Amino acid sequence: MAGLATLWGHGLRATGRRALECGVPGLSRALHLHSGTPLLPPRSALPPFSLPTLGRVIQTSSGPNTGRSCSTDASGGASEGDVRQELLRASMTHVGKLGFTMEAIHAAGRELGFSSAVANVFERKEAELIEHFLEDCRSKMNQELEERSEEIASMKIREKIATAVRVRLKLMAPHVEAWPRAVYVMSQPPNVASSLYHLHLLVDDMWHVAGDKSTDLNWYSKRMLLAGVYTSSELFMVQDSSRDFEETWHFVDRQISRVLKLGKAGSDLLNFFASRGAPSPGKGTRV
Amino acid sequence: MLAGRTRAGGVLAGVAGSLVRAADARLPSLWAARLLSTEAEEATPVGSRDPRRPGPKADDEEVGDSVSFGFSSVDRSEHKGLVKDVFEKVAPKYDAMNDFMSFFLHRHWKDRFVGITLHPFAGQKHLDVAGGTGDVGFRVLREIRRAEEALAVRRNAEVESAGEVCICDINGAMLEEGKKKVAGLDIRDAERGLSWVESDAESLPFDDESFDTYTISFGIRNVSDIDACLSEARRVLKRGGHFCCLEFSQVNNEVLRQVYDLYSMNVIPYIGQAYAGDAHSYQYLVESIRKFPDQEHFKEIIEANGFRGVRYENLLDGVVAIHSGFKL
Repeated sequence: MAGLATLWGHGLRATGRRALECGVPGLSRALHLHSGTPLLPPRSALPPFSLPTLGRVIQTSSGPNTGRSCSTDASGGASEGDVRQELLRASMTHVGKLGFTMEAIHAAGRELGFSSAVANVFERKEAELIEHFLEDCRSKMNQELEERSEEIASMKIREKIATAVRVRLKLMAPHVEAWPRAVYVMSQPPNVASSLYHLHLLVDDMWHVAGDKSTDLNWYSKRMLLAGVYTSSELFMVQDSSRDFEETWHFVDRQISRVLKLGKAGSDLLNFFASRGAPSPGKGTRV
Repeated sequence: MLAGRTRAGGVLAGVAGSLVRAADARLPSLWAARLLSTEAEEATPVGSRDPRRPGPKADDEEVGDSVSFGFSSVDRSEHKGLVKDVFEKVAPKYDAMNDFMSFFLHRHWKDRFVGITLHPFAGQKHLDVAGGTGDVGFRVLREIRRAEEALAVRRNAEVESAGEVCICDINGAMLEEGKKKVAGLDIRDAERGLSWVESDAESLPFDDESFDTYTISFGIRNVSDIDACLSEARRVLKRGGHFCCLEFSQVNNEVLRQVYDLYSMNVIPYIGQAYAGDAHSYQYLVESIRKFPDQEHFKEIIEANGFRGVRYENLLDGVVAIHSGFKL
């Protein structure tokens, strides 16, 4: 559960930041310290996602300077951060043939003039390659949606969401054959928290594009429902053999309609109670 | 308890005595070493001695040209011979003693070390230094063969046994123990994939950039000059090569540490006496663990020798630590 709390924590901070950007005056004042420094860091400054230890006997430490350090080597070698980025980039060219596997990273390593053993710089093995792909797709999606922002602004919210989902799924199309194995890897216990985090980032961005500004419980329900729509569409796409994934786009539309019906049923229920006057708890049922 | 301490004290005095005997080469520095060791012996009674190394040890490591041998310090040139002596004595019972002393846990440590940290691949050229009885070397070869089989299945081709493991040890007696086990291995092309080299870790008889991976498990603390050993490791590794080290380290958990200290300082030498008939060697092994740098300090040493992406992982809260780094 601690992991989930962390996930939502990231999301809340991100939303808070957006509220600041949108210029909510009260919130803006409340979230600024007297000195004028913002309480909420920009998303780029958020700490990298890390698994809570949960009392594991086996602990991992990579120290403060291993992550993305770019210090140059006295003996002329490359820095670890650069090598990681190069490896990830090169590995993606082998994914088409070898899938999201260690073999793809081995091949990339050899291509760059390293020993295959260099693939071990990824402590969580191929999961880190898959995460790189997820991040890459997300930024490409954001970029494309940004370019089409005028077109999107004229759409209804439902259309906006459907467009975002479609854009993101199209990015996956080249690697759809390799995707079942990636899903398998990312659903392994050590990677579950991280894959949920990436899913959260994705649906959060989609709602951002759709112009969502909710700060109440809707914030959670919207993201959860969209996460459901997105993952089920993704799994549908993996099995879709129709031309240009025609069936998948229909499936996305059907899923969104279903979710909207669910949301409508919820608000209908609330309206029903509201129209009859809020029932006071226990009234008429006391024995 | 008191009786136990005095007996442990007796063992220690015995070790010190045998050291002095072994080091009786009539060199002035050895007399100094003897003085040092007897002083330490008198100044701190066994029970109250803090076995933990307090932070980076600069003062007690390099006094003149002496290095620590257990809790005492000896001349650098003598150290190698003494360590060799220890392992020659324990070689025949080494594997069984490991099982007894670690409650069979060392097998799991080695499995994790090889399977997860090292993660062998098809066609890998591997060097296992201080590999002695082949515990780690055989595991690596098994994983390499497994990867090769998987590759052959995927390519729908003949299995190609291209991977090789070279097991290197300073001690011929340990290598002999390892060779005896080869016949019983259930690894394809085991004979062809294994080579045995008797050599010092500080000067390896291999060309530059000849191995993909390098492991040293439960060995680096016995090396006289850790820096020389690490720079040799870096020399023989290919660019992108992976250096992995499995070694006893500092226990983080206070309670576990107390239990562990009591067990290792008081029980292990007696197991050694009872089963292998050699308490002194096991007393040395236990003491050398205490003298070895802790996780962070050792990580710094590895980084200082030019490895990149250095990280470590504690097993059993630091009883054992896996350090790994890359030549980039």
